[in-house]
Amino acid sequence: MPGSLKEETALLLQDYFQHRGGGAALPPSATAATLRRAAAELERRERPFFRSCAPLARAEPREAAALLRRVAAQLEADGGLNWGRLLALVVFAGTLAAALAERGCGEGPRRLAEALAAYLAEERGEWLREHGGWDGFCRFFGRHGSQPADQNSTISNAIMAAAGFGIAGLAFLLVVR
Amino acid sequence: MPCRTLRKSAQPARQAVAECALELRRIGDKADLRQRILNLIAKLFCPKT
Repeated sequence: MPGSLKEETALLLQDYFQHRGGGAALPPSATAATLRRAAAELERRERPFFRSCAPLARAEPREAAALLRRVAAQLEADGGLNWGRLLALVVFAGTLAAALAERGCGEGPRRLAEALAAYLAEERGEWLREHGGWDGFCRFFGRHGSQPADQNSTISNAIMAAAGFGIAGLAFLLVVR
Repeated sequence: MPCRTLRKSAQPARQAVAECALELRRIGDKADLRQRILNLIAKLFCPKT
């Protein structure tokens, strides 16, 4: 049902925008928590670029929403959509929403969330459904590696396993020779 | 000439949108690939999780 996907997307985006703007409420769902975490990590890694985007939201919410749609359309014009591109688009929208809110435009974040939700659920709804909807997003970003501690643990496990194979290989060579 | 003025001011805006989309695409593709690799490593070395 496109309506429910659109509503779910709008709620998730509004929660992320509020959180980005300093809202202290707990995430309403596991998906919202995953979106907050993955988006915060991407924003932290690419902070100079996202900061440079804030001045683009100099106009009113309607114009910012139109800009967001133009960027979204060009973003996927080459190579389509993937979860990473979708996340980058959400963080970009969050940057515009935060900039509008800072300028005292309280309805800016809501308008941007609605515009992006309409774009994702209506124009890219087929792609979203094919990839499992927001549950698919959760599986992609939520399972491993979204938490820095998890990433360290996963990478440490990989390094330990590689070192183990290396030592076993050396021991084997010594025994054979 | 209003039309000409409009075209002139629209040009940098279009360029900004194109540059922004290009950079977001690069950032998104990098994040996607990074997460795919992390998921693959996790699948190989932590299959139970």
